[in-house]
Amino acid sequence: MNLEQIISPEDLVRLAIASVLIILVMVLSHIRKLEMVSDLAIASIRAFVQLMILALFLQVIFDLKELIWIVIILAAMMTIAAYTSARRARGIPRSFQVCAISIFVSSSAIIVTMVALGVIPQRAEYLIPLGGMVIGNAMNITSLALERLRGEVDNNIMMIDNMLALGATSRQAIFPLVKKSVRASLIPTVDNMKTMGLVWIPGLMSGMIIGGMDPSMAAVFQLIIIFMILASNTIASILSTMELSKSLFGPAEQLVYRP
Amino acid sequence: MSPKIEAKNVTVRAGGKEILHQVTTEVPENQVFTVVGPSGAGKSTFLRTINRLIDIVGGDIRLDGEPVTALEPVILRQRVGMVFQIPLPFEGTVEDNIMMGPRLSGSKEPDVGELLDMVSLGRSFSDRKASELSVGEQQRMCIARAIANGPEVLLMDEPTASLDPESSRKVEDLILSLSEGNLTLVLVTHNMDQGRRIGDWTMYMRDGRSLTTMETGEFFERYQGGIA
Repeated sequence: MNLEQIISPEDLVRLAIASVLIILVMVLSHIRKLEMVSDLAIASIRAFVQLMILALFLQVIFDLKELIWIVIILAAMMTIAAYTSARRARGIPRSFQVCAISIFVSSSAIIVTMVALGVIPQRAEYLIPLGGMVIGNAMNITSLALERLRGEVDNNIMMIDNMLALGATSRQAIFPLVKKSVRASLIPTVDNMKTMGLVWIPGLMSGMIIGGMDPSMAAVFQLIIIFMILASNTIASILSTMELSKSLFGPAEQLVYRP
Repeated sequence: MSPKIEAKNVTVRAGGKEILHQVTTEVPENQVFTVVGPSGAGKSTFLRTINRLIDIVGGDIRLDGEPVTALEPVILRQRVGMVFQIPLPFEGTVEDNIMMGPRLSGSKEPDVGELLDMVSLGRSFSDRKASELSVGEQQRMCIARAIANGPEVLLMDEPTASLDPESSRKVEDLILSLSEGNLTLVLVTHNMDQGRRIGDWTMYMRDGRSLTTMETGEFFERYQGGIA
């Protein structure tokens, strides 16, 4: 398989014209002495190479008809997402385990349910991109929720100790902080939904319309994926904060995590 | 009479360091037991081992002869209340704060007015926002909050250290009045004069060790010139 098999010469010309924008930005950066020319060049080349490899890879994947390959690829995506999220959550006890449980359970539950109910066709060209969107969002929400909860705990050690000393269970003592963290982590998702169609046209819908799909069909598909993301994000946020909470306390309901 | 609390060879480690080294002492029932010593002696750590906010790695702590590890932590902390150095009001009114313990455990709700009278705040404080009280008033509210669970023992970790002299004196008076009831008080203080004023028994700690435990009068008589 070569590049011409995935991109037509016509599309390549379009891409070359669009690349002029990058050159203009680099020139502007040079004139304004922003010292970003090499960064911009590397980022542009990386984006080109990565997306071309992805396109080639997806073509191979889409030709695979066995479900097991799709499952393996989704599982690999979830593992990378858990690893990425755990790296951002350094210093948190059992961070990889916490992130992996959150991302695997939330993404799998939603993807499997949607496929089982026939909302999403059981085909690679649907499952891989849509699954990727769900997993990517679950990854971001997991990092956000964990970071927020860690910050809340760091700032409220005394409150937790006071609650425990009054006879609260660890769950009762940390609940107000978990609630705050879950709500805060979901704000971007909920705000995105509120402004969708007013302030911005979501990427999936834009892509489908550009690809020639009827706008109302594109809107329906966009709504499906948004609902999937909201559900998965909510589960990921609750699970990650619950899992983190467990690892902060000892068996005698005492806070063992000290920043 | 058997002691209310017995600590035997209590050892605590944290971060590879020994914070408490084989602390052994006995706290008599319905007395004010003060723990004195310089900063970093392990006084607060010792206090927290009694209600298991910190777990020990060696030794044994008993409440009425029963190992504290045999009790459900939540039940233990209802029986052994605690007041911290810096008062921390929860969100809501003074009443919300005082009711927190009984509401968490689902036990019988106490008479808030009676508790407010006991800590000399007065019943009119009940509906006031807890965060708007002065630090001294907040500390007395925290004492009422701890007593609302009906504990048998009250642990107090430097309860007057963050207060002005006037508020400090009021809290000391409150501690003395509490000691007249059926309550065993374990008070950590770095203020020797305070220990002398309100303690019945004194344990002196240094470098994570308990150097001596004796009646307060005898302690200050014997160690007027300091402990070598």
